Amino acid sequence: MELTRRGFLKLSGAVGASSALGLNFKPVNAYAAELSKSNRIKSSKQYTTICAYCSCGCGLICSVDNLTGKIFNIEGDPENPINEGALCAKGAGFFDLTEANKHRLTKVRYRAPYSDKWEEKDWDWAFSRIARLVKDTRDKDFVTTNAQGRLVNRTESIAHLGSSNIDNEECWLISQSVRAMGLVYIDHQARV
Amino acid sequence: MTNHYIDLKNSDVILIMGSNAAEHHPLAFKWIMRAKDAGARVIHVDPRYTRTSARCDYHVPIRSGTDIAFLGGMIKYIIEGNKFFRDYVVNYTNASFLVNPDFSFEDGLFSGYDAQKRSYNKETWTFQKDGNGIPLKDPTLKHPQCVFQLLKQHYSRYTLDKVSSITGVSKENLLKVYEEYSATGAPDKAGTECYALGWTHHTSGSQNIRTMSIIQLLLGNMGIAGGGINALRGEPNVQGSTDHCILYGNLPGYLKMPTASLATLEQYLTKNTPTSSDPQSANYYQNYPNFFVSWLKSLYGDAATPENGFGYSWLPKLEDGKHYSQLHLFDRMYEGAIKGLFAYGTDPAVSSPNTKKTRKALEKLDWLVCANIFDNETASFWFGPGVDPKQVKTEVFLLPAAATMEKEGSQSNSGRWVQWKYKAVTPPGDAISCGDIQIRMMDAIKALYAKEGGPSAEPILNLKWNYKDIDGNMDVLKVSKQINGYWEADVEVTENGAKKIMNKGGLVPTFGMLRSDGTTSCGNWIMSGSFGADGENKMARRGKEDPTGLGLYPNWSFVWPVNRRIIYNRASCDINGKPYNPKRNILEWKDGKWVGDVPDGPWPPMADKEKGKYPFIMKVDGVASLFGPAMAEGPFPEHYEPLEGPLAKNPLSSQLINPTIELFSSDLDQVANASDKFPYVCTTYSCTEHWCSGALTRWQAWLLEMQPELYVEISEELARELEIANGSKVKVSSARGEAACIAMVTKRFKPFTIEGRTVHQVGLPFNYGWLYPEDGSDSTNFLTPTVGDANTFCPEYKAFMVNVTRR
Amino acid sequence: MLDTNEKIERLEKIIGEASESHPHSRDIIHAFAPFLLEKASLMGSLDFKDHRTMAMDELQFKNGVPLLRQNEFSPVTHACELIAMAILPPLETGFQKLSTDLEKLRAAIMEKKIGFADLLVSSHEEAGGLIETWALHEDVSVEAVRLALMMVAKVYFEKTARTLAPLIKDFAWDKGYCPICGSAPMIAKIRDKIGTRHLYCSQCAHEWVFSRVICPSCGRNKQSSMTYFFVDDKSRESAFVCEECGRYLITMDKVSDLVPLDADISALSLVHLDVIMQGKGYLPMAACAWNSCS
Repeated sequence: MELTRRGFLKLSGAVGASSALGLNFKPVNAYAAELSKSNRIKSSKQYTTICAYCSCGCGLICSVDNLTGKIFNIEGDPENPINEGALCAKGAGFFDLTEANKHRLTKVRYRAPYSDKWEEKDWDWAFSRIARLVKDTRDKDFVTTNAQGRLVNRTESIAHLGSSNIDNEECWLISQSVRAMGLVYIDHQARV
Repeated sequence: MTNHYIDLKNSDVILIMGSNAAEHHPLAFKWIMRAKDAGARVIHVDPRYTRTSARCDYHVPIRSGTDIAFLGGMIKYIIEGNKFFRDYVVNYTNASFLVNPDFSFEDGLFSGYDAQKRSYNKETWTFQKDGNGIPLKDPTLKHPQCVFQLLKQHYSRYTLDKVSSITGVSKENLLKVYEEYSATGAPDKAGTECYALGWTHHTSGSQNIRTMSIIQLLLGNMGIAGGGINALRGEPNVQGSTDHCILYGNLPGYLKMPTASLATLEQYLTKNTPTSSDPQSANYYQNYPNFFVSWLKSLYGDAATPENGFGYSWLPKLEDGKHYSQLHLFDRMYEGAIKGLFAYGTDPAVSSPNTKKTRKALEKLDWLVCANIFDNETASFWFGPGVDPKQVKTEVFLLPAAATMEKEGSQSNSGRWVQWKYKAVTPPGDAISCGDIQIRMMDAIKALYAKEGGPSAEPILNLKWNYKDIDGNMDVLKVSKQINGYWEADVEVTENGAKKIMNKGGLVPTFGMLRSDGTTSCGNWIMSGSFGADGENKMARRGKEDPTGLGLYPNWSFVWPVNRRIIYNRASCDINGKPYNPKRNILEWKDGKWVGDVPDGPWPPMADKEKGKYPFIMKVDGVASLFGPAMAEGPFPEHYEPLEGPLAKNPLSSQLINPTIELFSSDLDQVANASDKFPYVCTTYSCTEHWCSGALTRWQAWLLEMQPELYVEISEELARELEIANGSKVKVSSARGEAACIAMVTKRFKPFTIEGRTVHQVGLPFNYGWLYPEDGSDSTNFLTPTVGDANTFCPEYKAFMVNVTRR
Repeated sequence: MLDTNEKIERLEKIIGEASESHPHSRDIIHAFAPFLLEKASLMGSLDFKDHRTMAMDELQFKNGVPLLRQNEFSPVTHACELIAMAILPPLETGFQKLSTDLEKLRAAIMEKKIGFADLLVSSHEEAGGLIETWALHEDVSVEAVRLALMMVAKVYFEKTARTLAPLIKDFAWDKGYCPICGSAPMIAKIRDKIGTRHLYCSQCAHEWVFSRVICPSCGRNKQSSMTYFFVDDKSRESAFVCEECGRYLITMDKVSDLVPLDADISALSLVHLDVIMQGKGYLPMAACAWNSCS
C-alpha cells in the first residue's frame, strides 16, 4: 500500500547532505574505501526450507555465502507458525547435513559382482548400465498373464523401496515411473 | 492427522499413547505444552517412563501390545457410564444402524472366519436395508441388533479386572484415565489422542487406532478443534510419500491398485466407485472415476485415449488377495525371486525387521541401486559383518543424492500441510536429486525400449515424462503443476451459475472439476488446488493471518484437501450448523453459507432434509463407522496377544494372536511365544538425537557424541535378579538373533503383574548399524520378527520376547 | 525496568563501547551523543498522557493504516518548545560547525518567533518553504534549521510512540512501515536463538517484528533477490538489500537479548555500510541525518 503521507512523516527527507552538518566522514569514507579495495565486502542470501527429520514440518533458514556458494548457517525460521523459530537437537544440527560433513557422498560408487571394493563412475555410465540391467531383468521375468490367464502385465522380480525423505515431486515421479515399469513390489518407510 | 500440530493447543485433555512426543516430536510437544499451560490435562500411557511422561500430568505404565484391552475398557466405561455424546453418536455415526442378524462374535472370532486362509468372508458384516437400499436405523439406540448395542455387548467383556490383568495397569490408574478422558464427551470439551509408531508397530496396529477412533466418535471428538486422532508421523515427507503412494496397494491419491480380476477399466471403476441410495449422503467417492481417469491421463498423456481405456490395460495388476509389502518383498527376495532392488533414501539392512533374513536376502540380488546422501548398511551390505564379498554376486550402485536444502520442492507434514522449500545451494560434487536420478534413469530405460522393443514396451514408451528444464534438469514446477492437474481440452464449465470456458493447458482449480472423459489430467487428485488457476503456488504461501485465533493459518502453505485444516469439520456443528463449542468455533452455518475453515463440502447441514448432507462425506453412508467392516480382523477391535508374548493363552478368548495376520515361514522366521528361553517383553524406540535407522544422524559428530551406542534399558528389579550392573556389557537375544549392547539400569521400566505373575519388560533404541561409527553397535532388528499388521503390514517392532544375559 | 538515570548510564556505556569497537565512526557518534543522552533524559521527564485518548481503529489498522494516520494529529506547541529548548544546547555541543546558528534559533524560539509545532504537521513543500523563510529571517543556515527540526521531531515522535504503543500491542502488523507513524525503518535487528527480524522506525523509534523473507520497502518476497552484504569477519553487521527495489536496510544479525543495544548508536556505528551500499548504487529505506552522505 502506498501511503499518502503527511508532511510530518516526510520531514526526514528534508535534511540536506550530512557533510553540511560538519560531520567528520573522513575516517568512515577511508574505512569503507579500504574494505572495498581489499575485497572484504562479502554477501549472502537466505533461503527457507523445511526440516528433514520428523514430520512436524519445522521451517529453517539457510544462509549461503554468495562467493563460495556454500551454506554457512542454518537456523529455525521464526515465521513458520509450527516451530516459531525453535528447533530440536537434530534440527539445530542441520548444518551437519550439508557438504561441510565430510561423509557426504559426492561420486557415483559402483561395486562389481564378487568385488571387494567400490569404484568411482560417472553418471552416464551408471544410467546406461542400470537401464541395461532393468531391461534385461524385466524382459526375462515379465509376467503378462497370471495362472488364470488374466492379463497382469507385471514385473515381479524388480522391487522399489523409498523414500519418505524426499520431496513430493520426486515421490510422484517415482510412483509414476515404477508403475510404467510394471513393478508391484513397491514400498517405503510408511510401514517401518 | 485429522487435525494438525498447532491445533493440539486447543485441547482440554490430551492422551499420549503410543508416542514419546517430547523426545521424538519436540516441536509438536511444544503445542501440547501450550495446551497444558492453558489448563489442559495431559496423560501419558506408555510401557516406559520417558521425558514425555515427565512433562505430563501423570504417566501410566502399560505392557506392550495390550492397548486394545486398555481402550476397550474405556469404551465399556463410556457406554455403561453414559458418558458418550448422544447427539453426535446418533446423528454422525452408524451407532443406530441395524446389523445383519447373521453377524456374530464368539470366543474371539467374528462370523465368516476361514482358518485355512487366515481371513474372513465378510458377507455378514453388513447392515440391514430398507426397500430403497438405505440402512435401517434405530435412533433410540435400543434395538438389540443396532451397532450401539452390539458395541456395548462386545466391550462388556473388558472388565476392570480383566483389563488390569492383561495390561498390567492398576485398576486405580485405569479408572483415573477413563474418567478424565471421557469427560471430553461434553459438547464444549475437546479431547485428542497423539500416537506414533508405538501404536502402528503391532500386529494389531490398525485396530489400536480404530479403537481410539471409536472412543473419539463416542465422545464427539472428531472434526473439532483440539480433537481428532493425530498420528505424529516419523519422517519428513512420509505424509507426502504416502499421498503419492510409493506403496504396492495404492496409486497417487489413495486410488486403488488394480487387481487381476478387474480386467477392464469399466470393471475397475464399478468395483471402486461406491454407491449410496441415501440422498443425504454426499458419498464423495462417487467421483472416483474423475480422479482415476485424470490420473491415467497424467501417466500416459496423449497416449491415454477413451478408445484404449486410457491405457488401463498397461497398468500392472496385483494378484487378488496377495500382498507386496516390504515384509513380503524381503521374504520373496530371501527366496531368490527378486533380482533387482531400488532403495532410495532408506536403509532396510538396519530398519527392516529380522535383520539376519533381510541381509541374507540382499545377498541374493543380482543388482541393487541405492541413492543416498551418506553411505549406509544397505548399500554396503556386501562387506558387512560375516559377509565375504568374494561370495556376493550383487552388482551395487550407490548414487550420490542431494540433501533437502539442495533442491526445490514441497514436503507434506503430518498435519497435511504441504510446505514449499527453496533450493539454497547446488549439491556437492556429482550429487543430484532423487528426482533427477529417476528422470535420467527412466530416460535411459525409455531409450533402450525405443531401440530394442520388449514385452509390454507400451507403458514405458507412453509414460508421460517431460519434466525437464532447458538445461536437462528436473523442473520441479512442471512436476507440481502436473500433480495439480491441467485441462486437456477447452471445456465449458458452470461456476457460480455462470458458464465459463476453461482453456486447454490451463491449471485445474480444484478436484471438483476433474472429469472422467479424458479432458483433464491430474497426477494426484488430493493435491488438485495446490496451484491457483492464475498459477499461484499455494504451497509457497507465507501468510500469517489467523482469523479464528485457533491456529488454522489458512494462508500459510497449502493443506490437502482444498486447504481444509481440520477434516470432518462439519461434525463440529450440530445438525443445524451451529458449533457445539462456540468457544472454539472453526466452522458455522450462517446466512446460508459455511463460515470458518474450508468445510467438508458446500452443502447445508443435515437438518435441511432437501439439500443438506451428512458430515462424513467420504464415507458411503455419510456417517462415521463405529462398526467398521473394512478392517481385516472384524468390525469391532478385539484384543489379541502379540505374535510373541509372555502368555500361552489370551485371557479374553481362545484366539491367542490376531487370527488374520500372515505368518511367514522361512527357516529364519523363528518364533518363541511364552518361552522360558526368552522370558522378557521387549520394545524398541528412538531418541531425540537420532533419526530412524540413524543412517543420517550417525554420520553427524554432534549427534553421535550425544547418543554413541546401543543400550538396553532394564528395570532395577530385573537387573538385581540377573546381577547386571548399570553400564555393563550385555547381550539381548531373541529366537531370531541377538544384539550386543550396554545395560542401562533404570527406574523408567517397572515390572508388571500380568495374569497374576511378574512380567519384566525391557527396551532398546533402533538407531544403530555396523557401518558407522566403526566401533559401534549393530541393528536392534536382529531381534524383531517378520510379521505385520493384518491391514497395513506394519511390522511388530514394539512387542516381542527376548532374553538378557551378561557378556 | 531501569529508571531514567540508569538508562542514561547504560547509554553512556554503549556510546563508549561503540566508539572503541567502531573507531571510524567515533566522531559521528560523538556529534550525536549529547543529543541522544538528552533524548534519553527527556523520555523520562516528558509527559504525553493526553495522547492516550487517541482512537485505535482495528479495521483501518488491519488494512495497513498506521495509528497516527487514523487520527487528527496536532502536536502540542508547548511540548515542542520544551523539547527544542532542551535539545538545542547538546546539539550545539555536538555540531560545532552549526553552534552559532543553533544558538540563534534557540533565542528565536524563546521569543516565540518560530513555532516548530506548525512545521511538524505541514506538508513537505510547506515545510521546505518555512525552513528557508526562517533561515533567511534569523540569518542562520538552512541545515541548522533542518537539523534542529528533525531532532525535535525525533524526540516528539519517540515519546508519542512510547505513549501510544500499548494501543496497538495486541494487533498484528505485517507492513514494512511503522505501525505508529508510518515511516520507513532505519535499522533492523535479527535476534539470536529465535531469529525474528525487528525493525526500528526512523522517525519514532518504534520496534516491530517483520518477516525476514519479505522486503520491508517494496513488499516483494523473492528470496533469490534479497542479499545481505557484510564485512568478511563481521557477518553480524550487515546491510539487507532487495534487488527488486534497490533499497537497503542496515541490519544487526544474531543479537542477544542480553546485550544492551541502542538503535541510534548502532546505526551511527555502522555508517560505513551506508557509504558502501550507496557506493553500490542502493538507497537507504529511510534517509537519516547521517546517511545522506554521498
